[in-house]
Amino acid sequence: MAYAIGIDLGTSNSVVSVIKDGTPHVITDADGNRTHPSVVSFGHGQNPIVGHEAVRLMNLNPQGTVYSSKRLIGRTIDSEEVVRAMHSVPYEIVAGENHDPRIRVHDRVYSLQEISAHVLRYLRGLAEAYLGEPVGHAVITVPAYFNDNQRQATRDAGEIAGLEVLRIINEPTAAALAYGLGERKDEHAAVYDLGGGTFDISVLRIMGDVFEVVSTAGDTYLGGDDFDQALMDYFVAQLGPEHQRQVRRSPSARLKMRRAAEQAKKDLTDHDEARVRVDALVKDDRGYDQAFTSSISRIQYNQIVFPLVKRTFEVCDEALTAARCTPGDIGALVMVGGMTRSLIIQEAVENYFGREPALGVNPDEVVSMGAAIQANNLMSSLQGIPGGTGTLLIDVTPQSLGIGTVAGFCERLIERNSPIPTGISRTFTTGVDYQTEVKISVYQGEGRMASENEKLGEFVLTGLRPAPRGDVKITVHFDIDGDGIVQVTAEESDTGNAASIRLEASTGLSADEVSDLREELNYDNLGF
Amino acid sequence: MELELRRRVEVETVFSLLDELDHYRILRLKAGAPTSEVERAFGEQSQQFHPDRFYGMRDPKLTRMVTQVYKRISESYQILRDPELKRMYDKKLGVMGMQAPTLTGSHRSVDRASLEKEREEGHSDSVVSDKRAKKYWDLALIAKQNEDWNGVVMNVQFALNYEKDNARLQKELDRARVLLAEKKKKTQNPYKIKIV
Repeated sequence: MAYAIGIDLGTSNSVVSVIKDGTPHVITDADGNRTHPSVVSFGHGQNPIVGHEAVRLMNLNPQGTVYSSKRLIGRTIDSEEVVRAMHSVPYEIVAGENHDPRIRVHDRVYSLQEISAHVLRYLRGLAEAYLGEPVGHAVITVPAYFNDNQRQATRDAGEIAGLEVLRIINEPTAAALAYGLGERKDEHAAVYDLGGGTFDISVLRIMGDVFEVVSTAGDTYLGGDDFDQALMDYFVAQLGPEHQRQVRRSPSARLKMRRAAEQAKKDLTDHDEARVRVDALVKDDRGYDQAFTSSISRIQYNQIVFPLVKRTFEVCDEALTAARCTPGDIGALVMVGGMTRSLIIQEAVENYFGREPALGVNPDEVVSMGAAIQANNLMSSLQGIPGGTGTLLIDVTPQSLGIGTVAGFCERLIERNSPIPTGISRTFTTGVDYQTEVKISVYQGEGRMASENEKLGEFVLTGLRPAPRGDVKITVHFDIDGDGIVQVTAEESDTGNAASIRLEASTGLSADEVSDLREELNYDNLGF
Repeated sequence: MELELRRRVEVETVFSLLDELDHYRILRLKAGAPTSEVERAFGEQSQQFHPDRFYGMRDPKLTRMVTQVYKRISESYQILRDPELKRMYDKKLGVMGMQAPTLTGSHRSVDRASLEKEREEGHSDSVVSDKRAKKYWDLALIAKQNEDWNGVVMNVQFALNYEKDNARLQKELDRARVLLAEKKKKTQNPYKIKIV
């Protein structure tokens, strides 16, 4: 059987796994690293450098090295996250044609899908080297709270990287699968997933082989990076006004400060106090390099990050309420994501749920292992091999889907936490005589007003039969598929003719763009 | 192969019956079954009819059918796992005491969206408790049906006099005001002469 890989495409780091001889294997690079930084460095050569090597190039080539790009994927140029990134990252973010952020390096503009595709292409290469054969299929994970645009963009990135994406699955769900929770025991499980850039909580009911996600909630603006940022702000505030200005202006100084904050955060896992030293951070009045030194205690650190920790529990409350559960109903607790190594997080989570987390699998690797399990299941099914269909995953849509109506309201069509695939049909009619087009704006989110929600795009039904108003009735089907991706189709109710639909105002790439990029990117086939 | 054929026939059978199965029957439950059984039944039916179970067959027609079936299973589950929606549905189904379920073809009239809408509209009992407020709220609902936003604003304001802190009424008032303003904007005649 051909192998299918499971990829955890993370904000800071990515992991790739495969099921071989019935057990999950985490795939390493030539140096034996099991996690690979999601960093892409564009030199003047043909192919970009990805992974640990790219991190080493970050200092030499800050403007050409792209990191944390997952924070930007599938968003609009004016979204909060993108605006924030423009002020904090050394690489240049520009607006694309569809109002989407793009990255300009050495006079070439890259879509976020391409950046992610380079990471995926690299991971695919590692898997091919490890297995000694070409790999064409993958399951890729995304944060549970990712919306349609972000999922579609991730799927496109996979395609560009030359992979057939069997399924996009949610990170916490993948983690639950890898933990082999349940094992014939019926219970509720919670997955607390605090990664580099996002936070997710999922509540699952496990009945034998069926893993049913009951509810999920999350914050795509909250992750380990925010902890680093809070700590960095704390250190920068210790500098004098002139030096603060210098740091703000210099990308490399900010990067150094950020690294120091990150290191201090890690040190505080094992020590009560962390010392910080950044050489040549700023220049004194005579123009000489000046180092920055400081220290921080664990208690101080906890105080600084407490508001962030508290925010995760507000999200937990939301998920438990939706699942009609209390923390006491949770029979198994799983912690995922690098940030859950931090002591303050561990203590707070244990305290909230009143129980200790399940141990045994590395929190950095568990998501990719779950993805590999699901990849193997689906691949076996594709190739008609029985037994691969063992576990069934029932996931949900994280956010409600709605359409814009009169006076800027948003009418909800599909409630959040609906099991997927799901769908609903609506009948629309023309409001003006001889109208031949109908425009439908589709939104995702919980707000009553359309403006409070994320706009997925505008669907324009064209070529309607010209007739007096109200005469033409069009049935529109809004479906959410197994990947959590929205599909809109339409037909004229009386004739059953499929109406043609055009998607406008979306940040996504067209199918042609994806296939062009796919050809361009498959630069080498690693000898196969 | 035989197994595959049997599963295909099962899907086709349920698909052809979709319009006749009520929310309990599609989950193979007795009418009025308790929530705990609903949850278990959803797991069992998912095992059988989740589209992933047919992932490898790569038959577009079968996939379409099984997806339709699964959408209904999931919709029925979502109604019956929600205590309030379940109560509303049971009432419609006539599951009270010994009465046998009689409603067939009930899906079209009692789908999830219509139940959610009913809940959203709110029966006057659940929205207001004061008797006088209830009278105005009922009038507001009628006005709302006629899209008479002026009438909604007026009556909701009266109802609010008796229940000052009713958030639901306040929400309704805000909404009606926006709609009223919108309507005014639309009907404004730029050539109208105002006499003072």
